[in-house]
Amino acid sequence: MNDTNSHTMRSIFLEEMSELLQEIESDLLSLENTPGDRSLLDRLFRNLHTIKGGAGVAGMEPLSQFTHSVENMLDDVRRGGIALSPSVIALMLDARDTLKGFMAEALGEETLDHVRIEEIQTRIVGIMGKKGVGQTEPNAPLPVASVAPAPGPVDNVNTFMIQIHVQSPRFPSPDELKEKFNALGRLGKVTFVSHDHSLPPENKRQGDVFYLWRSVHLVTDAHEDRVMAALGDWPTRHRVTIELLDLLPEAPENQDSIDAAVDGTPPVLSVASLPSPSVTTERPFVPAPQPLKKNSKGDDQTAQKLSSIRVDTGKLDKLVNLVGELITIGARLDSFQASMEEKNTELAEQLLEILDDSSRTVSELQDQAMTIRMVPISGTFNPMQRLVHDYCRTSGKRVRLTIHGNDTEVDKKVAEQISGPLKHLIRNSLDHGIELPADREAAGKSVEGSLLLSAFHQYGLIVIEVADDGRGIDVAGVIRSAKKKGIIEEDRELSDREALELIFTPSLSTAKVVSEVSGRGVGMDVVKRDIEELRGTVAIDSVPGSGTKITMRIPMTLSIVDGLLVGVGDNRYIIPLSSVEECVELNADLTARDDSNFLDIRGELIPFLRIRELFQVPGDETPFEKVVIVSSGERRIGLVFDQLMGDHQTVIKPLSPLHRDVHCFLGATILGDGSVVLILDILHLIELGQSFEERLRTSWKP
Amino acid sequence: MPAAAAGDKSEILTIALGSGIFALPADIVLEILDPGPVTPIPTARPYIGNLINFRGRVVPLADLRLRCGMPVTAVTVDSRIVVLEIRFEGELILVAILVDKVYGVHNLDEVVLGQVPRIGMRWNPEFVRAVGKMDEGFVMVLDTDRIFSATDPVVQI
Repeated sequence: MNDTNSHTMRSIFLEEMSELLQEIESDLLSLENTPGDRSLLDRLFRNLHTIKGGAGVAGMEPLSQFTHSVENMLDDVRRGGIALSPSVIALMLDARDTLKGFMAEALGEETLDHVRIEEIQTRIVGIMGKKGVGQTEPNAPLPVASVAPAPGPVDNVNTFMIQIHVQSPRFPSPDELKEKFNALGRLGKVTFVSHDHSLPPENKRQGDVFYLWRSVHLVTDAHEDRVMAALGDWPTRHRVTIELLDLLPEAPENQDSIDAAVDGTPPVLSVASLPSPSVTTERPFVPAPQPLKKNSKGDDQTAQKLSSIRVDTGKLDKLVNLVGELITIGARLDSFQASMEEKNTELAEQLLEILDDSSRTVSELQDQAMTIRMVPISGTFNPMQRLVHDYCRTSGKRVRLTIHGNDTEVDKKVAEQISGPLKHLIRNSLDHGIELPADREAAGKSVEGSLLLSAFHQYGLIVIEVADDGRGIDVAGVIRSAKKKGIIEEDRELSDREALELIFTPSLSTAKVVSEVSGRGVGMDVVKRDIEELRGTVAIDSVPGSGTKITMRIPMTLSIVDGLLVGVGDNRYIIPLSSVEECVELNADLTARDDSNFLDIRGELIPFLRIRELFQVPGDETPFEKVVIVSSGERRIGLVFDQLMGDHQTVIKPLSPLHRDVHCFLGATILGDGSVVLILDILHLIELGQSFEERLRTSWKP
Repeated sequence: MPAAAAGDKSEILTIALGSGIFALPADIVLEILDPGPVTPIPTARPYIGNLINFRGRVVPLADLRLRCGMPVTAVTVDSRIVVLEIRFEGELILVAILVDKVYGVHNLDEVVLGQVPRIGMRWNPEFVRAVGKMDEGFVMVLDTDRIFSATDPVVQI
C-alpha cells in the first residue's frame, strides 16, 4: 500500500469513526436508562469492533489496542460477567472520549493525553478483575446476557440452520415473530438470513398469499430438543426444517437481525452482494460449505455501506452550479427557438417540444441536487444528550431530555450552524430554567425536570423548539432591569410579549445581574444574531413557574431562497419571502405626514426606505409605487419599489470576496432568462431604516 | 516579481485599456466574451460595480480603467470581457474585466523587467508583473492579483 493510499484509508476511517463515536455515545446514554437493552449493547459492541478493525487497517495500532481492551470489557458485560452499572457506563463514556482523543490527534487537532489512557486502562482492568463477583455491583447482570454461552469455537457447541417457510393463512404477527426469534436468541447466538430476494417477482405474486421465508443460524450448546421447544407450535403450523451444520457463523448479529426480520426493514440483502470486507473479520474465516454462508454479517454491513456514500460538499456545490448553467443554457435555447419561429415554424414547433422536456428534466435535476445536501437533524440533536447527561452529573439537578423529530431533514450547513445557538439555549434551560430537585418538589413539580427538543417542517422552514418545565422568566424583573439600564423609559407600559423580547436586547441580555434576576442567561442576543444569520427568527414564550419555550424558525436550506421579485427602474431585486409581511400601494393616505419617512399602516407608524433613492437608480419615480412591508422579529420597515413581479424560487450564490464591503445584499441569483439579480439583505436594510428613524426622532426633539 | 518573470516570457494576452496597450499572463485568462447584460451592484465600489453571468456563475465585472484612473469611454464593437482567475486573500477567485480591445495571444520575445528605459513610459513596479519586449516595442504585463488586492482608491500603473 503506498502512502497516498494509506492516507486516504486513514481519512476515510477517521470520518467513519467520528460517526461511530457519535452513535456509541448516544447508545451509552440510552443504556443508562434501559440497561437491559440487548440490541443497544450489541450495536455498541459492533461499533467498537469496527473501530478496532478500521484502526488496524489505517495503521493506528495504539488506537486498535485501546479499543480492544474496551471491547473486551464490553464483551464481559454482554456475557453477564460484569453488571452494567452506572459506573461502568461512566467508564465507557470516558473511554469513548479517549477514543475521540485518538481521532483528534490523528487529525492534528490536539495531542493525546497518555496519562488518561493509562488511567482508563487501569480502571478497565479493575472492573474486569471484579467480574467473578459481578453481583456486588448495584445493578444485577443482564438476564439475557447471563445465559448466553461464550462465543467462539467451544467443543459442545452446535450450529443449527433453522428454515422457516411461513404458511398462509396463519401468518404470524410481528410480535409473535419477535417472540420466537427471541426464544431462539436465549439459546445462543442467532444469525438471521432473509430470502426475500428469492421470492417470485413482484408481478407474479399472488395477492392472497403471504410470502415469508427466513433462515436462522443458531450457535448454541443446547440440544436439538430445546431448539424445537423454543419454536413452540411452529413446526406444526408452518414448514420448519432444523439442520445441524458443522460450521460457525463468524459474527453475532442477534437483535438487529431479528428486528429486521420482524419489521421487514431494513431492506433485505441479496446473496449476490459484495464479498465481506476482511477489515471487520477477526476470527478465522470458516470456509462456507453452502451459499447460505454468504449472507452472514459481512454482507450485511457491506450492503448498508453501499446504500450511502460520502461526498465532498464542494462537489455538490459544483453540481448545483452546473445545474444553474443548464438552466441558463435552456433560457438561451428558448430565445433561439423564438427567433427561429419566424423562419421555420414547423421546426420551431418541434424544438419547442424538446425544450419542454428538457426544462422539466432540468428542474427535476435541480430539486434532486438540492435534496442531496439535506441531512437529518439527529446529527445536531444527539450530542445534546451528552451535554444534559454531563450537566446532571455535576450539578445535582435531574433532567430528562426528550428529542422529537430526529429525522427531520435540513441543509447540512444549517445543521452545523445551529449547533452553537442550540447548545446555548439548552445550557440556559439547565442553568436558569430547571430548578434543583428540592425546589421542584417544593413547587409541586416532579423531581425530574423535563427538557424537550423538537424539530419539524412547516411552510418550507424547519422549526426547532427548546422547551423546559422550569421556573420560567421573571417578566417583572426583566422590565425593572431594563428600566434601570435606561433601555426603556421609566413610565413605559409593556405587554408580557414585549417584555420577553427585551431578553434579546444586547445590553440587557449580556448584563450579569439580569441573568440572576430574570433567570435567563447571558447572550440571548448572540443566539438571535446567529439564527438571523441563517435567515431565521427566534421567538420566546414563558409562563412563570411552569417553563420557557424558545422557538426557532429557519429556512431548510441556505442555498435556495423563496423570493419576491421586485423592480425599480431597470433594476430587479429579490426579497426573501420569509421576511415579507404585506404589500401595499404607496399613496398619500399612507404617508403619515408630508415629507416624512413614515407610513401609517392601520394606525402604526412604520419607517420606509425608497430603494430608488437608496440605490441611486437612474430614472424618475413612477406614479404607482408599491411598498413591501418586511419584518425581522418585532421590527418592521417598508421598502418602496416601482413594481412587484411575482415570486421565484432561486439558488443563492454568495457575492465575490471582492464585494465584502457591500452589505445590502445576501447574495445574487440567476433567473431563468440568464440575468443576474441581487437578493436584498432585509436585516441590514431594517437596521438602516431604524437608524434613519432614530435620526428623524432626534431631529424632531425641540 | 523578477522570480516569476522567466515564466511570464511564454505567453501573454495583449489588450487595450484606454489609450494604452497592456498584457495579461495567458495562463490566468479563462475566456474572452462579447459584452452582454450586466447587473449593477448599488453601494459597491464603482470599478467593481457590476455582475455578470459567466456560465451559471455570478462573477464581478471590473473596469480597470476606473481602477487605474483612466478616462472611461463607451462600449464599442471592439470591447470585450476577459474572465480571469486571480488570487485574492490566498484564494483563487474569478473576476471579469472589461477591455477596449483584445489583440491576441503573443509570445514575449524577452522579459526585460528592470532594464527598460523609463523614458517615454510611466510604470509602477507594484502593479506590473513584468515588462517585456515584443515586436518593436515594450509591453507591461499587469499584476492583476495586486491590482485587485490593493486598498488604494486608485491604482497608478
